Amino acid sequence: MLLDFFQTSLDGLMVGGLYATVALGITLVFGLVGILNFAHGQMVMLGAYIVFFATAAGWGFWFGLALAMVCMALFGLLLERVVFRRTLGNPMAGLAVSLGLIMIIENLAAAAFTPDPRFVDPPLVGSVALGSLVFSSQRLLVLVVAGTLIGAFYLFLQKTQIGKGIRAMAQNRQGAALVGVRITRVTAAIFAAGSALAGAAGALLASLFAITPFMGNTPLMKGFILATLGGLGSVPGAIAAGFLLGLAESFGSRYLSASFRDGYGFILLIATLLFLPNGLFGARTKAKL
Amino acid sequence: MANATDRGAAGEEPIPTGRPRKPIDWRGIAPLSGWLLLLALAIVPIVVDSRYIVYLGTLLALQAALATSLNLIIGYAGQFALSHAAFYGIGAYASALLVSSSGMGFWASVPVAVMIAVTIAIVIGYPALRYTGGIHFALITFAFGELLRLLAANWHDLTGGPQGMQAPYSPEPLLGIDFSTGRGQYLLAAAVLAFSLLVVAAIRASRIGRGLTAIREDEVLAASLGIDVTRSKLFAFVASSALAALAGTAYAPFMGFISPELLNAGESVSMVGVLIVGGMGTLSGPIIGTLLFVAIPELFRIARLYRLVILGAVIVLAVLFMPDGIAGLLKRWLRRFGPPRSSAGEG
Amino acid sequence: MLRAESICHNFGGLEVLRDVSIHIRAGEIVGLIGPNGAGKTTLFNALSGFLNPAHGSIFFEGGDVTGLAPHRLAERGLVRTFQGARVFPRFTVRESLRVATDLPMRRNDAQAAALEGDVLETFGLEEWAEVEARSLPGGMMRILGIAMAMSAGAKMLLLDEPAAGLNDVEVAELQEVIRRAHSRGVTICVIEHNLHFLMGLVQRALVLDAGMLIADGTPYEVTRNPSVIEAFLGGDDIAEG
Repeated sequence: MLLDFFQTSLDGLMVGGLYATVALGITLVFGLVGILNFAHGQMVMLGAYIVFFATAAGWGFWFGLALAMVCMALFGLLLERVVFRRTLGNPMAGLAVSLGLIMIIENLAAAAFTPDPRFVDPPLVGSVALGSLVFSSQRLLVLVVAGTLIGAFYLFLQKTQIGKGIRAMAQNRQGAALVGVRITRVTAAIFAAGSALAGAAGALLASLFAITPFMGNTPLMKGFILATLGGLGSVPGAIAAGFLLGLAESFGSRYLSASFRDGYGFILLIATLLFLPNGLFGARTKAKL
Repeated sequence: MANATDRGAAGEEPIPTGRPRKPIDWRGIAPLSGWLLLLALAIVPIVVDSRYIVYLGTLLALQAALATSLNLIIGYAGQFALSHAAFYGIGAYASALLVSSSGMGFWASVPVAVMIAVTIAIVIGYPALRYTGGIHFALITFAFGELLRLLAANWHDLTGGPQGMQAPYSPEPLLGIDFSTGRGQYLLAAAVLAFSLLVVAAIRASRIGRGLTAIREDEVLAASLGIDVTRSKLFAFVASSALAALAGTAYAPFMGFISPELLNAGESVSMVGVLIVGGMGTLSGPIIGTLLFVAIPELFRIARLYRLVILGAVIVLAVLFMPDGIAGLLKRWLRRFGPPRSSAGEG
Repeated sequence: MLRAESICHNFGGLEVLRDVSIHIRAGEIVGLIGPNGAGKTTLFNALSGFLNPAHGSIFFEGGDVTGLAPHRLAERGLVRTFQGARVFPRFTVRESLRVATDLPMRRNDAQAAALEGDVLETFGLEEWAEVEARSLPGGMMRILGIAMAMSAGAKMLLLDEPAAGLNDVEVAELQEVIRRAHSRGVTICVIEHNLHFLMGLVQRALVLDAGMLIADGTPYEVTRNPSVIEAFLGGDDIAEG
């Protein structure tokens, strides 16, 4: 019984960590430039495929992970420069554009890669025993890597110049501009960093689950749920919400209905949006005027 | 300007000369000819003897009806509702369930299904619309749509689960029309489209309609002038969702089969895309968008994947460069070539 | 006509309105002045329903309207305008007025059209009737804002910095428009920094500083009030007074 509990918890944390990795990109982009980027999920999908092709080419998983992050960072920069920069004043246009982008990317991928699921051999196989608890090694690894990435990102925000710029923008955009923060550069950095994280999440997902061209939609929705739960624009909020959601799903699937797994998140989202519009941690308040 | 008649010499009977020529009012003619063209297109499936054309026509009519009703909430009220496909599904499932399990006739099930949709729309819409800034609303409707789909896929007893359920019935004959034939189904779909257009046009011309466009332009300003913003938005949302459900009731007997995929958020997104491209805020925009993005690919058998890629690309381009869509573009051309506008133009 | 009692409000711990009580009688033109950041617009937001004050009550024409939504206040005849020429960009002037005349539901189409024509004439907007609001020159935009408020059947107008950024000619036109509205029996309260503009226009001035009401009297009295002078010290507003 206790074993079960820990097992479920670990699963929940692992999944939650992955979700949080995706959510960070979403919450930052929305919090700072007001764009709800639906295409974020596609970065996850592309990251997964990059890892697939990297391992198929014999370059190994870790290289694939790094490659996924770099490629997605570049892709994010490209999108920001070419597309999103034009929609900065108009969040609805940003949303609409990102919907269009999903259609393009997802279906091109489906056409190019075919909808057949692909699989990647995970770098770690087997399991690890801690006392009488048995954990899948790969899942543990994913949890560790996700945690490291989140931690690294947090440090990036605290310590680097650009990271500070991001935080300044999050608090007061005009003020940040006034003190010399280069808004366009920081925005580009946010897109790049968020996309890199999404790519990494995709790579990690690939080591555990099947890869399909449509796999981006679920992490996307979960990412939105987290970003909203945690308060749009709040990094610690997204992280905490990520683990919360992961746990909720894990326990819900284990003890209630498994096939309804995704539904728990949606219920949480709807409930939060209706009753706690600023998320569990109350980040940005919506000004009425 | 010369008089229309000239007096003949010495006060005889006036000799009529030609009336001064008015410049051709393209502005007035173009929309009218557009509607005539649509009417002509609409008649095609009735007279042509091809099952495929009839099938295509029915599909198009339903899609156009969906686009038209979606226009009400997105184009006129300016709120991004991503739950439209879900309400389409609610209409389909509700009426199918009512007909198959309780023996209710089709025509009786329609108003019930629509009322169910109305209730759900109010329950979801009211809290969701309390917030300004449509992002929350977009998210809630998106999540709601997906939630419904999951419910439909998992509630095996009620809905048959992911395999969907059969809808092996047809509407009872009405006005001498047999709705079990392809043509009959087409007429039903066309009627749904016509009804949706009428409702949207009526709303647009009314106080509420003016209020909605005002809200779309600047909702804070609208509020300061006495417009109840939340109530207007809710009205638009409920009306558009109810019309979507209506279309859904026609879908079930047409396809004979409904599955949870009908409620797919991806479908809602496509509908929004069609609207963006065709032009929101006009009556013709949704029709143009549907013709372009459903009819043409269907006719040329372009694979669904590529169809979506192209739609996606056009959406991106449209949002960036053509914010009023194709219909908006046409409107602006006409404005340039026609006499000065007198009042809110027809779209 | 409009009475606010002990209005207090804060934004996350920062007190922006402290125990503000004002009373505006029907038919008056009153000015609301104060240095930047004094809370004038915040007070307007509270009075017009865009903000729910943390404490205090507001009464309009004797009825308690505290906490009512803006559109409800507009229904009762209390309408505000916004800083910076806020209009419906893609509506023509006529369409904009139509939106406003839609308000009191008791009006039918004919009455609405008559009112529209009347407003167009009164405010000198006739020649602009078919022009899109976003194409109007700055001064006309402000006038349109006031015209819309009037078309909505305002009994009392709260004008938020209508003269900001206008040149002298436009300012004079604006003054004329406000006087015309006033002569039709509308009570008016104006926020303005341009004291020169206000002094010729208002009968009474309320002075707000750091969220508190520090003076209430005729323009003459107020400009000689030592606390008012001190509040404005350093600003160049007082030089125009």
